Amino acid sequence: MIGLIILFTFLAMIAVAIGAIISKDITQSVMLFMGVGLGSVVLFFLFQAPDVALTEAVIGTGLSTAVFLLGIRHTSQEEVG
Amino acid sequence: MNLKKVLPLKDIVFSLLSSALLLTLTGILLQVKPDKFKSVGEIFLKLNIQTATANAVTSVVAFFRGIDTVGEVTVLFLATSGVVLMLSETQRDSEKNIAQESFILSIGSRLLLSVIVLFGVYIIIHGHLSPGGGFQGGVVIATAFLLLFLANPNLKLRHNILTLGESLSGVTYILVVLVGLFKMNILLGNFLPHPTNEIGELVSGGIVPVIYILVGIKVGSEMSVIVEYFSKEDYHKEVRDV
Repeated sequence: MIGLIILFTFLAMIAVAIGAIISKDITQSVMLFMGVGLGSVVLFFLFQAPDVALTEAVIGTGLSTAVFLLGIRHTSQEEVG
Repeated sequence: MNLKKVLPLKDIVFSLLSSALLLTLTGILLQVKPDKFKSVGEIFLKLNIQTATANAVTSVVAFFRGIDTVGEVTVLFLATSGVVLMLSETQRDSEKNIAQESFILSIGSRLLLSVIVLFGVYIIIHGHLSPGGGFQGGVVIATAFLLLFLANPNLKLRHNILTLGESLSGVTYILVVLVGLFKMNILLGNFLPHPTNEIGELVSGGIVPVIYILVGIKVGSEMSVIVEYFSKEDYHKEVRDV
């Protein structure tokens, strides 16, 4: 069962990462990138590293996304080039 | 299409060199047997009884590899100094721009602030018992302030108190490291009493919870300042453009 969850999380992370690359809207890209962090939180927790999972949840998913979004707020919304 | 025009020769050489490096590293990594890694974790688990902390990860981060944590705190301090140095110029001339703040958002964020800060303090204080610690708890506190800044654009932190707390905790951290050097002849010596039969209690583990509380204060104040400058700078630029 846990193996299935791990496999599903890996596949979801890969899908979300590809989505973050090909998306033209930067805000959407950042939110999808947050999904990669969320998947790694689940993986860290399942691989018995709750300390790293907490760090990833707080810094990788919370604060870095907020800083990215604050940066996007006064640059262009569309990807250039 | 001419390849030389699109990609200069230097870039091609660099990419070839880096792919050769990648291949070499993969070859080295493939030859290492995974049994060799088992021993380090087992040694640390055996040594964990020395620090008498319930969370073995914390005893590695704050005690066995404590010098690395000192380095990380220094890196964070330098990063904060850089952010403040670069962004504080744009803050001065924008006192008169008063933005409209939403009533529901501002009250709701103030209600949530206390809960989130309490959670961060819990993570910091229980760093030697449960997952988490100074860095994680400090960033949780900073996200609470981020919420507050997003809801109330006119809010200003009292930088005197933050600077005082940050520098005092940093100095005390270095002092704890040095007192260990003088009393136990090693850096980060655990000079406070840490009996092994008290594992799992709130006051246990000697200097480990002290270090994590100091790191929590330092990271919390630094991250709050970074978050404030990022959200403020953004807002003022927007106002000026209009």
